[in-house]
Amino acid sequence: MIPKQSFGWKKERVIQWMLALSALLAVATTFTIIGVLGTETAVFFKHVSFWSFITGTRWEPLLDPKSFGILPLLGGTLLIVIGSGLIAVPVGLITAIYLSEYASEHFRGVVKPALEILAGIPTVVYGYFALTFVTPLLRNVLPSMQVFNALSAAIVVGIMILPMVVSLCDDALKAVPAALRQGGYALGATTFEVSQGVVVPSALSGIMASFVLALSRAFGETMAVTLAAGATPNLTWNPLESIQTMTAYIVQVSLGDTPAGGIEYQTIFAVGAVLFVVTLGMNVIAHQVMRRFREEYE
Amino acid sequence: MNNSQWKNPGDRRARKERLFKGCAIGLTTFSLVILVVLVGHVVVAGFSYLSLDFLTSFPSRFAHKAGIKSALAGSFWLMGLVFLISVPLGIASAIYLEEYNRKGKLSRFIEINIANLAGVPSIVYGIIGLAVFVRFFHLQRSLLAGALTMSLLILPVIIIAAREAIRAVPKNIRLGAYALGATRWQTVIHHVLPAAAPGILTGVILAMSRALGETAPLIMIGALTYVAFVPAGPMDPFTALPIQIFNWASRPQAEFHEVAAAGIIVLLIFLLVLNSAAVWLRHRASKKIRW
Amino acid sequence: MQIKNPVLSLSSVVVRYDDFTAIKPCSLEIERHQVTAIIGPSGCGKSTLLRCFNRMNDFVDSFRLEGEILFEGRNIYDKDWDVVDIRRRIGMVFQKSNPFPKSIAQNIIWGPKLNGYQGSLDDLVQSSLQRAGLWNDVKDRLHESALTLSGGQQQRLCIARAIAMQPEVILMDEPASALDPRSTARIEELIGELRRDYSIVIVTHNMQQAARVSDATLFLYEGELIEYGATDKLFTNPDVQKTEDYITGRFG
Repeated sequence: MIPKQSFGWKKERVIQWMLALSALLAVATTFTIIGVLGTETAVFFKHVSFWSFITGTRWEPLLDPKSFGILPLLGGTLLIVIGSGLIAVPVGLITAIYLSEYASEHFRGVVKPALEILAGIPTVVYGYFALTFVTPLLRNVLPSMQVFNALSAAIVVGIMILPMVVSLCDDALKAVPAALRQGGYALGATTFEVSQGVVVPSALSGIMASFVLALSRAFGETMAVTLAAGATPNLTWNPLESIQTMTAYIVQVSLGDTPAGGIEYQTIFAVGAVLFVVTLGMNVIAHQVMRRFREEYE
Repeated sequence: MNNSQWKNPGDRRARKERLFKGCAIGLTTFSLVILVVLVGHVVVAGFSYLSLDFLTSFPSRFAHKAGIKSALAGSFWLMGLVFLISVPLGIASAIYLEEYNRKGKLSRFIEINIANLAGVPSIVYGIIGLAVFVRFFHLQRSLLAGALTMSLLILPVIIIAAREAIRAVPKNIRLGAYALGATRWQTVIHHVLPAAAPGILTGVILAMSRALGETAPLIMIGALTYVAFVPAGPMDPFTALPIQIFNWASRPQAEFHEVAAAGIIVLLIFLLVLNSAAVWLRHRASKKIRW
Repeated sequence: MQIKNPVLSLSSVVVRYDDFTAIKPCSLEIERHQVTAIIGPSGCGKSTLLRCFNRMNDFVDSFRLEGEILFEGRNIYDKDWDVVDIRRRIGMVFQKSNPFPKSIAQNIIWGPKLNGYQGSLDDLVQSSLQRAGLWNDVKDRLHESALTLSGGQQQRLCIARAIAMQPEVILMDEPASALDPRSTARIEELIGELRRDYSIVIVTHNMQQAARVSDATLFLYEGELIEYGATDKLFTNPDVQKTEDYITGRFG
């Protein structure tokens, strides 16, 4: 005979609550991030006007007089995002098209693991690669290039986000029903024509979302740009010059023993808040678009 | 049919097709080439510094004497703590979301949180770790502060992987257990988790390899770049392999770049071992169990 | 049944997927400007045979074909014959309607544009839609997405899309199986009208439909051609016992 209620409902309840608490940790983390960044940034804005922060063209928190215009850091970051996008977006999309529309199973079996390995390489390694391989290589061709420069960093960040673009685009292309492709082929289209005229347009929102997700990764990338792009808050469009991204600035401050409470310490929260808001915005939009895209083909 | 109305530019179309295919193969191979070049470059640069001494020496201001003893010890400590913290929490969250509150509003909300947390830059976690663990909880620049920060970072990865593994367990198994009078928790612990274990473990390994290579959050919480001792407990200060690599790579002297490369080789070997384990597990699981 | 003017002729065609023989040795001719139905139980090779005619099986790696399929006197599987040209001249309508997620007009003109159609595209849109019996329904919203159409309308759009290529043959793979009875009736009506200008080969598992729309019927069973003849004769007085068993519903 099975003992009645051998495993008490009370115990079940307790377990359920513990599991729920673990799951709620994710929510707590989000709120902690928002709370910490929010309150510390509020302190920062007691000393620096919001307007001069977002429109100022000089970022000189350590000089006297101090100047807290985030535009040079934002510009440096955008230079990296745009540069890496120029590499990862076309290469990633075309690779994904090739893998999903042309390649044999065998070829996929070689390229996909290689991409997974690329995706798993730590960013500090990419930084090292940019500094000791890409930059010297490019300086042979472009002698005017500085040792620390946006171009090398953008190239390696592009390589870094490439696997993400490929795998997300591949998913999006795969979601397009085979019937649509067949419809295209039955009208006498070539594989390229079917890819470009039917498959890619049908997967467009999913593809766009992949781009946004990958670019948000580039936006928040830290180690590669810290090592290779330099530490010069420099409002420039010249990728051969040394710049500083928001992330690299945060690293720079935390490497030099900044005492808590000082305005320099506060800057990392203000800059971090900008970083968080922008990447979160990009992620929310991309996930929204992707969900709608998936629903379309279910 | 009136065939004069069709002037099929067949040659041009075929040329376009060939051109695109050629470019696409080239670009697809690009990633393979990059991988080979990157690994080759690192190995060539760092190979001569790789020795037993390198593994058993503390860092030094002389390149040829420098080693990664403290960095390795720090990374091992860190991995162990991160594992202990993040794996139970991650699996528990996944169980709750998949088995207890599958379609609930709360789950939906948590889900959105997790998806978005996975996209938060790692350095933001570092900032939070600095403010919360290091300063607020006064954990200082300890292994524990680092491990807690890193755990927050990889939790979304573990939860997402564990959920997928749990979701792949067929419904029949649960129904069978319920039909025998098992409670929800008994069903989960006796049937669902064992069946999902290989998938969960694969996700855990991949998350751990992410934690092993992450640098920015540790720099933020102030992991030291020069540590000439092996940490003895979770409250000790520490350095870690990627931090040590970063430190060497950011020095101007070329010899230290080569030491950094040697460190990268060690790091990549560890990652390779972890990833191979994950691939092997995935392969074995897919062969063994056929629903 | 006498074939006077064949549009497709098969001689000793065998289809294999790896070790599995999907079509056993088969030789036959298909009459021009007629509707030829292929019937048989699921998995008998109907669709496989149909897809040989425009080489849609090329996408299946394990697909192997022996023998010849002549179209206009030339082997479809001739290495020098561009598959793109074959598919331009032998159109296809699928089981499930598959309009592209583009506008109605774009759906019609996409194929002709690729294949170098020189005439007026607007006229082509109008004439194709008219022939498919869809013009009056959609003439005011040609630039709306094709996905806003109903299921039956979508399938007629796919037929219009095939017609726009001015093919000689139209292959139809169970074109009405996913539609409600009213839409099915309209598609069948349309097939009856199209037979004047096109040679149509239609796969169907619905025997009443085959009897209603086709001139000749071909019965396949487990990859084997069992009987081929005039539809009236095959459905009223078949030569082979197995055919009779199938059309009277004893199996399949």
